[in-house]
Amino acid sequence: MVGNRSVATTLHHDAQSVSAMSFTTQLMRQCYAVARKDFASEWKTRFAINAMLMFVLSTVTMIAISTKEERMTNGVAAALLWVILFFSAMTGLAKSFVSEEERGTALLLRLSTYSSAVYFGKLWFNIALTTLLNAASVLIFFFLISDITIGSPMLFAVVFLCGSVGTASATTLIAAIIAKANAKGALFAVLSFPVVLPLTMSGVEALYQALIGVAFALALDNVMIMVSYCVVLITVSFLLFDAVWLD
Amino acid sequence: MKFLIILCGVGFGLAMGLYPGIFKPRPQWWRLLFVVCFSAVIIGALYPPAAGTFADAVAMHRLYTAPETAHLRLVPVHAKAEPTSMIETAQGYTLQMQSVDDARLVSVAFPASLRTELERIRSARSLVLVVERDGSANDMSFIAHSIAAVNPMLTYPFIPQLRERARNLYFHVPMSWVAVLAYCVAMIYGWKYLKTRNLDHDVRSSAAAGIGTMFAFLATVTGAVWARFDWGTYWNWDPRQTSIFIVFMIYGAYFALRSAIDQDDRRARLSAVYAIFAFITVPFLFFVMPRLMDGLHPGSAGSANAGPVISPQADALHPLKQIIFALSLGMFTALFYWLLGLTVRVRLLAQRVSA
Repeated sequence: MVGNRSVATTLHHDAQSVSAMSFTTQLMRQCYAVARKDFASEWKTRFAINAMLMFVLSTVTMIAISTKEERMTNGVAAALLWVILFFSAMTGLAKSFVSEEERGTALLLRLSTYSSAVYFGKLWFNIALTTLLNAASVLIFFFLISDITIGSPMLFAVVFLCGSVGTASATTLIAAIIAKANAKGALFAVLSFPVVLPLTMSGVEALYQALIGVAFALALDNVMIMVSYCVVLITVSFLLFDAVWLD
Repeated sequence: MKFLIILCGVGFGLAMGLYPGIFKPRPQWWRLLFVVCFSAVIIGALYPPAAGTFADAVAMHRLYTAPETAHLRLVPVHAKAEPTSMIETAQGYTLQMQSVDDARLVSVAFPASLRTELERIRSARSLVLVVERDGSANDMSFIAHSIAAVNPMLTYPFIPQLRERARNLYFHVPMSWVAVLAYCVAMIYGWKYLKTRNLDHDVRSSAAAGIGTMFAFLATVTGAVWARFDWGTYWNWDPRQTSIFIVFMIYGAYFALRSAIDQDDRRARLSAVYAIFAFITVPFLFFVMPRLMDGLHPGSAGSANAGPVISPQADALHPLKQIIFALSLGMFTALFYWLLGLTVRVRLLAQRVSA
């Protein structure tokens, strides 16, 4: 494909003349540049982070108010937490690509760097955004719904991290796809949901195990499924990204 | 041996499906062969009666002792037995027989209603009788309820939990297999489209996805009906039910994406990417999750048996069942390729007409 060829020729070119900087270092720098650009533009408007935080806050408040009288069990808490994490991610994660298309800066980005650099830059940004936001969600959740305790904090942290990285890696490519389609908002959730579900099936179970305080080794099955699923998702996204990004 | 038979069946179906080319018209003899083989599958699946041995009838009687499960004690048995004597009683008569299977002496009481029927078919060498163990008499005495079949050429082994519903195996499993195969084919043509940018491949990919969705629907419906009568409810969120549901949603999303893009080449490109991306969930959904999680399907984490199809036990699936199951897998595969070829040809012709 076009992108691979251009990367390959650059690699060749680099090896001969610009040998001072290896291709990998150059790619890493460009990924970093793309991510930094996204952080900077996000910091300027704080649109995604504000919208997602308010979304989380209103959702948790609604849950807290409507379950006021109920004693929340660990299973229900794990399920609700996962629902909040997924749908709050759905509100903001598409923005990284949609805004490029809306502002008309996609073409510029396409001209100025490799598609792999764009993919990994956006992936880093999305992972950082999701992790930050999920951390906020968890804090708000445990602050407002206080009768839940975490039995195994170590497992909880690992599951939380896997879930955040997984959601971001599942949705980055889909965000790039829907940026080029009509009816973006609804389509993003529709396309992402089935791809995130295998993650959810293990994730909810592992989260439940973390809440009731299961030993880490016993929950390893689920954690391993999540990690391997993330790896597969990122690999396939990386391979397919050229086809989406280069018109 | 079992795997060899299944492999042969699938190989035969694939060979048929790929001959003389997926998107070429099939010759007359091909269609004839297909109809013959497919009819063989349907007849083989539905016609032979399911029958156990007299020992099965005893076991079922012990399993269901409560009056409300009395109807479950009725077991069709394949009575390959030599009659030794006949005793007239007030209600009818009792036939003393020696069972061919285990040489045990069996007595079967025929009520008056069955008597005339039995006299009519006196020449029968073997019968499939629906019997119930006579709890009041000795261990090997039974009461006949009806005659299910006379001189059956073939009988299926009676599976106590599944009974006649075991026949669904020949439809439900091949449909699920074709659903996965179709999605795999959709992914392959999506990948070919990305490599060649030939819009014909996009037509092939979307046609395969459409047919796959249809088979997934059929597998879900046959599975739900089966679940209703074996597990109690239509839907149980068993891991496999969940996974077919998710695969449904993936292809719902795939068609939603297709309808949201106007330009032909962009639609083809993005939907090909999504088809490939979504297909990576399939190994997780179909092969990893159902084995790791507790569920009702055979082969689940909590289940003691691996299921008749993949069990390493040689006798887990009766030889006759193996052959029909293998042929059914093959014929559903061939049917898929035939449908795919027809759909693609029709769509390409429609494109040419409208262009």
